[in-house]
This record gives sequence, structure tokens and C-alpha cells, in this order.
Amino acid sequence: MTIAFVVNGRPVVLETDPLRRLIDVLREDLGLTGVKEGCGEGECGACSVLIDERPALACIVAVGAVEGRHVVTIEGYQERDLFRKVASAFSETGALQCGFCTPGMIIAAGALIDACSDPDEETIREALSGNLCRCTGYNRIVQAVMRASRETKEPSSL
Amino acid sequence: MKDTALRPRDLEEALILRRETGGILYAGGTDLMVRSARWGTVNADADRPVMFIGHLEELRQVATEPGFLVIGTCATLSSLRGHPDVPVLLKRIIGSMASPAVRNMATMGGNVCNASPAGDTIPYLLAMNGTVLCASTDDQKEIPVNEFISGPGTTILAPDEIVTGFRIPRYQFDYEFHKKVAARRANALTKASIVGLAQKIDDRLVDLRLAFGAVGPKVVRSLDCEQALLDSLSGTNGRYEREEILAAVLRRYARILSPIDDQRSTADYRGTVAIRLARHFLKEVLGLSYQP
Ligand SMILES: Cc1cc2nc3c(=O)[nH]c(=O)nc-3n(C[C@H](O)[C@H](O)[C@H](O)COP(=O)(O)OP(=O)(O)OC[C@H]3O[C@@H](n4cnc5c(N)ncnc54)[C@H](O)[C@@H]3O)c2cc1C
Ligand code: FES
Ligand code: FES
Repeated sequence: MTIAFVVNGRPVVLETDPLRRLIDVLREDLGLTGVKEGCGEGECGACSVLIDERPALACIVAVGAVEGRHVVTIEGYQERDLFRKVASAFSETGALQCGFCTPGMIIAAGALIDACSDPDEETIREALSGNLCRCTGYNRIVQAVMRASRETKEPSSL
Repeated sequence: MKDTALRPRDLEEALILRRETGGILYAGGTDLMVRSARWGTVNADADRPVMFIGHLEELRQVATEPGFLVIGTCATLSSLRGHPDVPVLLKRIIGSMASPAVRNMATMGGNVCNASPAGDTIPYLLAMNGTVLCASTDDQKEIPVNEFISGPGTTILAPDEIVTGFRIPRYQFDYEFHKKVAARRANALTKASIVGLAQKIDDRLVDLRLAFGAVGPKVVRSLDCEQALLDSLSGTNGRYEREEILAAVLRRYARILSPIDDQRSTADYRGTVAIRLARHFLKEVLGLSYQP
């Protein structure tokens, strides 16, 4: 089946089995290895991508379901201003150790900051509740998201 | 390469393809894809093609009719949570499900059609007397949710039919209660859950409904138990009498709840928790909660 969709702003047309998982197509066919596979069952968030600007899990989406839609992986997300703010808040706060969960965390955190300019701790924990981290114990991640949201707010409040 | 999937343009085409192929419906895919990861196939019956329907706009709408809310089967859980016409109780239930990213993909139709006893929107539909709207190329049906779901993982949907949505009476109860017990905050399957609704007129209980999730092969609601409770209350019962009535109805519920014993939780634990949740809600309704 021919599947046409947009990945990181570029149109992609593939001849492939529509039931292949989006994560496999992104990693194997398109070389986008920032999309990580943790659990493969929708439970850890390592494979988070944006589909039409909303966080989704590439391990439980069939590629045929994204026909005509916009997929953004961490590679495409890196081009955004928001990415730079979130990523630097993560490194300054010590919100990553091994880094395996980080692409997914950043996608989830960025979507939250887009939707809510001043999230409190509870809102952040809820927004990241589907993203597991084996290393950091989450507190630093929450602090990093708070910091990043403060930083995104500043320019507009001038 | 053999086409392993169909992608209808609209509902009309979807119904025709469904009749011709009996295609396996893929809405948000969050149940199907996990099943396929575990079993290597989305369905034991690999001859049937998969048919994507999540993109069909006709199936994603939320509409109000006089006295009713109609939720399109492919409305995602996130879109319902953000919709102004969706009742607060349903939004709260959705907030207890999965994680934000899963809710962006998962649909209400997939939750109901998956027919898991732990499907969290099912007790809500059952308690609200919601119905399932089914369509085929030449027929439309409206089926009460407890008839629609025939057992764990099974429904009476015909092979040429597609669920198009849910029709839910728009009714605000005096008491609306939902509680889900699970091991952790996100992505935890329900060990036991309850939806409780109650309505009073002049302090007299006139409507009471309890639906239990994850405590049996199907979501449980007992009209007999509900009626028995209403009948045993006269409206002027004293506190001691109400305590007795509560204990009696809980004993009745304990007899009909038959939890599945699996690795998640023992049957006893689930049954006990479900009864405790019911007691909590009924105490409030019967004015027996401790009030400081
Ligand atoms: C990590 C994770 C956490 C989860 N947590 C919860 C939770 O807390 N509570 C909960 O209840 N569920 C949970 N689920 C299960 C699942 O996400 C929900 O059941 C979801 O609502 C299913 O919707 P879907 O659109 O993804 O279904 P799909 O996978 O697309 O479909 C599910 C089933 O319904 C059938 N179907 C779908 N649409 C129709 C239709 N219109 N007509 C006829 N048949 C149809 C499909 O053929 C399939 O058999 C979780 C899943 C994951 C992966
Ligand atoms: S790999 Fe997709 S959620 Fe874990
Ligand atoms: S930093 Fe290692 S899993 Fe999160």
C-alpha cells in the first residue's frame, strides 16, 4: 500500500505494509533513531512523536493510520525555539542521566508548555505521567519543565 | 504486495467495505497494536483485512440532541475531555485513563468495542443508560450497552456493522461518583472501579445506579439491587435503620460480584475493594458519612 505523510516538514511517500508500526518505519526506513523503543506497548513514552502537533506513541500506531498527517520526531523538533529552551533547561537542571527517556520527555514537556504557559507541579506530573524514567526520579525533570516554561513566558511578557 | 489494509474515504464507503470484507476496524489502534505486539497479529483471523476508520470525520463528532448527547465512535478521549458539551463525570473518568499521549489516539468506540470488563468508559455508559449506535449499509440500530457487550472481549456487533457512536441521556444527578483503583497513576489497568449516580426528590431517594468495572466477565449493574434499596427506604428511616439497609444491599452486591482472579489482583481483593467503593458512595447518599 502506498502511504503518503509528512515527517519533520518533508513529504514522504512509502510503499510498505500499512500495519507496520510507525516506530519501525521512522527508525528503519527513515533513519530517525531519536525515536526510542522502550516497552513497545504504549507504557513508557520513549517513542513519543507529535502527530498533527499532539503527542502520540509511535510503537502503537500503524503507519497506515498516519496517511496525510504530520509527524514530528525529536529530530524535527530540534529545529524549534521551544526545543532549545526545554533542552537547555533539562541539561542545566540535571534532568537527564542516560538520556533514553529524554526525547520523549521533551516532546511531552513541549506539548504541555505550548498548551499551558504556566503549569504547576501537578499539571506537569500529569502531562508527563506516560513517560517513564529509570534514572532521575522525576523531580529534576519537573523542575526543568518549570524552568523552561518560565523562560518561554519571559519574552512575551516584555 | 498484498494490500493488508483498507482506508475508506467516508462512512458510506466504510460500510460497503465492511460488508464486503468484514474488515477489522482500526480506530485509534491502542488496543489492536498492543494485541498485535503480543500475538504478532491484530486478530487471530488473519484473512480479514484491517480497515482504518479513525480519520473519518463523520465518526469524530460530538453532537447534542434534545435530551441527549451523541458521541461519535472515533472521537478521541482527549477531544472529549476538552469538549464543552461532554459531562464533567465522563471527563473525570477519561482523566483517569491511560496517559495523555494514549488519550490523544484512543477512541471511545475502541474502548467500548474492545469490551474489556476493565474498559473505563463502559460503567459510565451503563450507569447512564447509554446506547450503542450501529450501522450497516441497509440498517441502523440502537442497542443498550449491556446487551451490546456479550462477554469479556466480545460484542453482538454483526460482521457487516460498524459502531458509529453512543447516545447518552443528558441528565445531571445530585450525586455523581467515580472511583478507580489501580496500582499507579498512569497506564495502570483498573483493578476495580465504580460509577455511582443518585437522585433525590425532597430528600427521598428516587433513582440510584451503581456500575462496577473489572470485577467480573462484564461490567456489572444490578437493577434488582438498585430497586431493592429504593424499596427498602421509606424516606423517614432513622440512622440505625439506614445502616441496616446499607448492610443488606452491600451483602446483595457481594453475592453478584464475581471478580476474575488474575495476576493483577486476586478475586477477593477486587470484590472487597468494589464493595468498599459502593459503601463509600452509598453512605454519602444515605446521609451516613461522617460529617465533622
Ligand atoms: C498504555 C495503555 C494504557 C491504557 N489504559 C487504559 C485505561 O486506563 N483504561 C481503559 O479503559 N483502557 C486503557 N487502555 C486501552 C485502550 O487505550 C482503550 O481501550 C482505548 O479506548 C481503545 O480505543 P482505540 O481507538 O485505540 O481502539 P482500537 O485498538 O482501534 O480498537 C479496539 C477494538 O474495538 C474495535 N473497534 C474500534 N472501533 C470500532 C467501531 N467503530 N465499530 C466496531 N468495532 C470497533 C476494534 O476492531 C478493536 O477490536 C490502555 C491502553 C494502553 C496501550
Ligand atoms: S516504546 Fe512506545 S511507549 Fe514504550
Ligand atoms: S535519564 Fe535514563 S531513563 Fe530517563
